[in-house]
Amino acid sequence: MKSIVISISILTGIYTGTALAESAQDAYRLGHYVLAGQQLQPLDPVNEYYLGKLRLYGYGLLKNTPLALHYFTEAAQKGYLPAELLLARYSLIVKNNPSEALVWFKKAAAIGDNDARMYCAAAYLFGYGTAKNPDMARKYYIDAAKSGVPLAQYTLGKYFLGSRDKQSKQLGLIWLSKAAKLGSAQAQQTLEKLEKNPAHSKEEVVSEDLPSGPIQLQTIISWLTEGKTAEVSQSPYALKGIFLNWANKNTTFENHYNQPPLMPQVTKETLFKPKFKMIKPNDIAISDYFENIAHFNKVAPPVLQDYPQYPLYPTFELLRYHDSLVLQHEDENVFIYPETLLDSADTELHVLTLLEIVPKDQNRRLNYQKALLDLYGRAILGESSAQFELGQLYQAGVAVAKNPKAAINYYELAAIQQETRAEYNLGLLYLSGQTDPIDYEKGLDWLLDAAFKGNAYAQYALGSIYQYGLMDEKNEVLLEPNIEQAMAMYHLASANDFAPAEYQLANMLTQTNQADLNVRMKAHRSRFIKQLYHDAANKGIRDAFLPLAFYQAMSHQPDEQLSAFETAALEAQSGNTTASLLLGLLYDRGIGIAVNHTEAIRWYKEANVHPVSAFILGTYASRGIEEGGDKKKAKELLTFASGKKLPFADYNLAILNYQQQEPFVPSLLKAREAGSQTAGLLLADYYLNKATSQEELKEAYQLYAEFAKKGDAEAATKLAYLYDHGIGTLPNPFEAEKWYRVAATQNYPMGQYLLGELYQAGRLNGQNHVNEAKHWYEEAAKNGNVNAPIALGFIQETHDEDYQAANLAYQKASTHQNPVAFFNLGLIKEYGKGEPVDYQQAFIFYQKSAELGSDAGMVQLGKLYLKGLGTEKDTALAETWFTKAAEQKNRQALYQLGLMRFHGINQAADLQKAAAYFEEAANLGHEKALMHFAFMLESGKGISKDEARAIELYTQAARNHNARAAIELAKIYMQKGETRQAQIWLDQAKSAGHPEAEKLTSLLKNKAQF
Amino acid sequence: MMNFKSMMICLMAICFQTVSEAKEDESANPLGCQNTGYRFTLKTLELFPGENGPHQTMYFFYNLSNQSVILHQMRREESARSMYINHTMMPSHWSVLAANENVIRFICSIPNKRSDYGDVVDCANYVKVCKNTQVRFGLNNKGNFWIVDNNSKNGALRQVVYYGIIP
Repeated sequence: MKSIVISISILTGIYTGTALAESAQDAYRLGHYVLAGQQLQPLDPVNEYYLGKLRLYGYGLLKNTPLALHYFTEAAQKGYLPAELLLARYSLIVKNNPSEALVWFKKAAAIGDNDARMYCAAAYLFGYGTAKNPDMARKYYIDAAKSGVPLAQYTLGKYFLGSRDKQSKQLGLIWLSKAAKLGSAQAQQTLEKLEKNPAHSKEEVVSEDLPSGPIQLQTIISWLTEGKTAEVSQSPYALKGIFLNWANKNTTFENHYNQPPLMPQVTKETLFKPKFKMIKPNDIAISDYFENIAHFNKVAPPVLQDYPQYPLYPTFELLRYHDSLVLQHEDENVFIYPETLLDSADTELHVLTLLEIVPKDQNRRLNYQKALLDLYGRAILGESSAQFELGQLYQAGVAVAKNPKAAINYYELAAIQQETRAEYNLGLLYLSGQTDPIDYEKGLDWLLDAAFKGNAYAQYALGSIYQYGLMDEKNEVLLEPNIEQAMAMYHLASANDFAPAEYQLANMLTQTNQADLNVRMKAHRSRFIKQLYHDAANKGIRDAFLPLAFYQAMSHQPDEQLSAFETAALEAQSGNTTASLLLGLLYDRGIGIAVNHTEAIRWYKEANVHPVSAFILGTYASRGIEEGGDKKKAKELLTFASGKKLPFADYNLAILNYQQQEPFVPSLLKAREAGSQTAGLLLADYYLNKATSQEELKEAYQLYAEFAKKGDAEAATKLAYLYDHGIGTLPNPFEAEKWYRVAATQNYPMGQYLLGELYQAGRLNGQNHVNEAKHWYEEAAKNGNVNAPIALGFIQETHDEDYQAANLAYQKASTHQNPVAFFNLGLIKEYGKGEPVDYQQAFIFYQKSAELGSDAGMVQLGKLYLKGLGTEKDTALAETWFTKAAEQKNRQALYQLGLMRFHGINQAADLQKAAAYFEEAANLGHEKALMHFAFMLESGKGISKDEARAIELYTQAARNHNARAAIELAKIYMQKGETRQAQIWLDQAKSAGHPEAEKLTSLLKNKAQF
Repeated sequence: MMNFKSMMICLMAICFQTVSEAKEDESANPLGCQNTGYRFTLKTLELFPGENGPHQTMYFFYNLSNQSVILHQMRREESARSMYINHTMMPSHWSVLAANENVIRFICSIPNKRSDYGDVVDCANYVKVCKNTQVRFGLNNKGNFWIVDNNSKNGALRQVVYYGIIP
């Protein structure tokens, strides 16, 4: 059953493609006050506190301070700390009722609030709002001291010092030290005094008597702030917000709306809007180009003869060199002989004499014979290296007749003694099929044995064999390719510093699919490849120079960049097209040389057979960057590159097709299949926005998930958003948090912003984490997110009631021409939040906000024009702005237009139009518009009379604590003679303190008597 | 305020917890065995017995995987006159190597039915190593040799002590 419910939920989400409705508390925390006002239900203390705030400020609901206090009291009585603290401050400062304040502070202290604990301690210590009671005071400051409040620790320390007991005095010193460490100046001074004269400790404490006589609040505050201030407004006990910090008294009028500050909105539409933009060739990492180039530059597999060979015994190498008919010899008459020949001559002179008398060819033969005899002598004595070298002569046919069998014999003798060179040569001999019988297995075994003993040649040869597989002379497969083992063998040979293996390993790594790698792994791999090419190049592998230059080009070091340029220039001059391409890239990006687009294009054209060049030239042609560039040519070039399996080309071809309104999805799919993340993400955005079928949403979700798992920050943010808002999947705030974090920790600003919003809304466990939210907004702002400072300011304003900080944050955002920031700044100036009212400034800010398209800004601007505040009165302009805002369905604008039509401002009164505006505004939850509309329906003024509808609307308002509506209902029912109904509504109006209620009640009573 | 007694109870609880956690974690380094004197590079394992201390020292190896791992000694010289100290490690078992060369290198492989040598794997993913930096060997116990073939951690420690080596 449960699974069915879940399936239905998923399907609902999927087919509608919309987020599940946010909770009322989320709505409040994110500043959606109209929605919060409609959905928050009392009985829950948090809801009651939020409702209280809405009523207190007149945000979303009509301002109603008595009702707000009622809500706060309800929440406080249920133990909700913010409500308790608010009421405690309200009782202390507004009501000037310290006894009542103490009751609330005690409740807050019981929950563990340190400010409340200290206030209670002070109240009992000084007897403020209660009788003096040092024991009760101590109970509170002991709790605070344990929670690390320095003043409490100091007070407790002093108390212990005043004791007669030695151990207690010791304790006193401990508490004083703790307080001193936490910065208590009083504790530091007392400790200093005690250090100078320890004997006076008791007198010191007792001498500081508390003041007697009537106690003022200033005395308490001065004590609580350690003398820093006596003003409650400067202390942590200040009552902030609309109570005392708003300079504009108009905001305190009951039964009207104040305009709340706005939070920026990141909607699904803006976040997932597909961006059909071509990839700029210069935005692609050079390493990505190189890895694609590597695919096109595949070389033919090596043959056995290509594998490294050990040199012959040095004497034979020299003899062979001199026997060569091809090589140039510096001295044709030079006599080469083994060192052992010297031993047989008595003196050097004897050797020279021999040389003169022996003919040249005889010399040669003699030399070979002597050297061979020498080697043979050592081999039969069991010297493994001599056995190996003798084997080499038989294998190569140097100084002896070529004889593979004899070679094998000598190699095997050496191999028994763990001579790995012999094992390697044996391996190659068997694999070459020169043995009788042919035994490839044995060849592999010898190579493996040598490789596992650490022989670098064997490791390299095996790497190559595993890489390409092994065939016999009939082309039958002996060994299938095994890329994993090939790489492993190249790794081992590289560990032996064998340069060809390093080069080969780097090549293999560039050619392996990197689609499955995350960002961190890619960076690590790139560094590793560069190191391998670098080492190989340093050891003389010429082929490694150009690949290394590609990686050097990505370095930020000028010397490396210069080296890349020099290599590319040198190789390009000799006609290497890959080098020409690199040279083009370097000129294009200004790496190692100043930017020069003409040169870049020239070198790209030199390398025009290269798909990467075609891609770049094609993209430039489509954007008209290249001279004579046009869409047709662009398409030709991109199609050519696409045919060579270059995913960037597929992607840009898709965009070109989209721009020309041709089918683009196939190219995008091709790019995505080739591993292009950009293509995958665009495809996902496209599917999500279209969302015409379950498959498309599922596909989008899977694409985001796939790329997010690889660490892509944008994909992680979008996946998190899907979880956060239950789009295409069940809502899961914990998964949302996880993926937002993946993006946020990579400094992806949108991920950081949305993580902040998740914490602010409290979707994780129903509690908002304001400090976490602020942290991530700060991070997002640092990384350039324009919404983040506004969100930060919003929290500072609505949660911390710190208008100065909020003002600064909004100002920061306003530099990005953000309409919401201008609007919030305008409100600060208009309402005088924490500063004097400044209509001129408010006007300027609202004007900017309105011009940037904010409907809220338009309404406030219109109101200033209407009243002539901060500007000349101009009702026509006011109406213009109201009309513009009304087009965006702004309920306040509709109400204002209704009033204008009702009162005939700018043009003759039009009650029908007025009623239409009021009705539309009322439908959007504007209660004052609703009352006007109900009145018109009731009276039939301008529209057809409809008492039943009027009653319905009045009832709706009255149920929402509107006392005026209750009075109107009472009047209607009185006229109808329904006294019981009338009495019910009169009672409600009376309890809400409406002045007409009393009069109407007596009228009703009189009527009943008659 | 937490009094002394409750603080002691807490401290004891933490201690017991640590002990029991240590008991559960068989793969944790034995006491005195530190993550030094070795490195994993290019899939191989390199030991540096002589690094920061006397040459004759002792390494503990733990097979992190659920299959056997073969350690093949990899030498630089082309012809070796001494034996290769190859060794097969059982899954989740400890082995101990006494060593006194400047550098000892190993290739790691896992069994493969088609080859006696097995498939080469990255040692870093399969083997955990630590070095006993303060260890005393008897005069007749010097050289490179496996002291413990395959054992539990406590078993390996007992064998080391039995051998007359004081870890």
